[in-house]
Amino acid sequence: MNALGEVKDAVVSGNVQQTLAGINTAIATGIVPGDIIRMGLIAAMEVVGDRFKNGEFYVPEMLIAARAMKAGLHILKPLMVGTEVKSPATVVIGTVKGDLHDIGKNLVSIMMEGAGCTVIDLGVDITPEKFVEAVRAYNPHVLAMSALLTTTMPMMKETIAALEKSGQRSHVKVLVGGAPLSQAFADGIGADGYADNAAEAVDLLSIYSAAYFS
Amino acid sequence: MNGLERMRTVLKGEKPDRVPVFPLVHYGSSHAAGYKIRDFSTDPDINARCLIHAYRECGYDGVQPSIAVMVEGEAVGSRVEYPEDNVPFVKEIFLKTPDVDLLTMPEPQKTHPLSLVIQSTRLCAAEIGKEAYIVPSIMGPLNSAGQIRGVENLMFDFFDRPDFVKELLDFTTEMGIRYGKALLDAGAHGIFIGEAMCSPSFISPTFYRQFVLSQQKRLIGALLEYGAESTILHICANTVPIMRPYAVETGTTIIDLDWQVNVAETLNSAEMRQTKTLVRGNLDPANELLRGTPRDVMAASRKLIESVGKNTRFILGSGCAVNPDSLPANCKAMVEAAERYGRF
Repeated sequence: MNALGEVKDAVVSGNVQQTLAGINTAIATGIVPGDIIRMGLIAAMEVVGDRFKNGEFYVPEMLIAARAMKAGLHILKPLMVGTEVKSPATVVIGTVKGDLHDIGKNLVSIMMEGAGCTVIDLGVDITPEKFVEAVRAYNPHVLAMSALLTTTMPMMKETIAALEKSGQRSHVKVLVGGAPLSQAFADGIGADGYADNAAEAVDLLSIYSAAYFS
Repeated sequence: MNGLERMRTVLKGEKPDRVPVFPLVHYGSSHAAGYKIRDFSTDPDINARCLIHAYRECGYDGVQPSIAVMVEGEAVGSRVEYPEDNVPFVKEIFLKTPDVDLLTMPEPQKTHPLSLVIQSTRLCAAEIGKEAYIVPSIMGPLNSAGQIRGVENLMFDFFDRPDFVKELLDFTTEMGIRYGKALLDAGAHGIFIGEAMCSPSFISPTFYRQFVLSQQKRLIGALLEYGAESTILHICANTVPIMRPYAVETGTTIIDLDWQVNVAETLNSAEMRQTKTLVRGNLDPANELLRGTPRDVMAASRKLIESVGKNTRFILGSGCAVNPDSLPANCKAMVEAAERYGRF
């Protein structure tokens, strides 16, 4: 098997040591870092997303794959100086005010990074004002919000209202997700999209990429 | 029949007057009684008062003394934050180092907030224990472990240190047994066991079997042997991939289904025909109970009741925890639907 295939398999199976060993082999055989990221790491996360959708992978399997991917990115990114991998989208993501649940948000961040996006993860307990500030500062294509409680879901609507008030609503696509949410809820609050899980969230990005991003 | 009689009747497999109604109401009871969630979460008298008020106002059949999922975590030493009017949560986990020797087994009567829930149970049992079914909530082995070790850490631990996970779940199961017994001593009729983390939207059925199933069996077995009339085991989201272990192998009296599962199909399934397990379920707590009108809730409840038919194994439930804004009107609507469309 070639080195890129080894890297990909190692990430999918969540093996950090083998990921790093595979990357070192790939570099030694002259493969450029950008290709290792694209065809090793990003390709692996596509497989991870597919396996999640197929019901073969669950949250633990995704987390260890992400850990291996991040370990790989950590050694490859410094080698990328002077070259660029084009990011299909910039995403600002956070869990809403009053809510500290972050696993879903973290998985979405990971999968979007795994797809090559630039992700700014604000963390948890993020007020509408902080979301608006981040949209202003980072000018993302997408604002993604997560909530796990019926008592914190209302903050999503408040954040969209804050975006409207600041004149930025039309500059950004708003995606929402979290266990108590639904398409109906997302439509009701004026969000642009709803994803049931992290893999679907990345799929939504692709839809937006084609139609929205130049 | 009152709620206690109704629940005991269906538990015997006999026909009640109407479908029992038992929504999952914890902090959901706070606003209707005029309190904020922090009041409910920190004062046993107010906790009981809110639960009793909601029961009386809405007319359903049981109460579930509890606070939220963080109770066992705090009892062991995780640091919890109590927002003024939102669900308390673990801010800092206790077990950052994966070593169970760092844990001390809490004495339920003497350890807050286990003692708060025990006291609330005692108060509820004293005031309405002869008319309502009292089922306080505990966290199951995996959920407790998540509040002590951190949910994400535990996900990695499954792969990185499975022996530690087993030891941790041995500890949380033992804690659950002691806590459950104390709640039964305080007058509980049954025990609710919350295990959201076992959901197939979270961990694989393989991991559920490998790490959790035997612990849940041990917990449920111990509580039923001690004198619990019933256990209600709650696992969120779509539990069809684990229905056999969940409904049949754990030994639980009642399974508590979330809105994603078809209750009628479940009751008619091969798994359920092998067992006498009852099913509570399963409105959608966000879309139906929170965002819907009482008329919407009546219609959704009616649809559920009629889909099941006259089945003594069915208890009308809320799918998952009810939001404060769903009381009293929408929970009353559930009862009205059972009165109108759920008579036997």
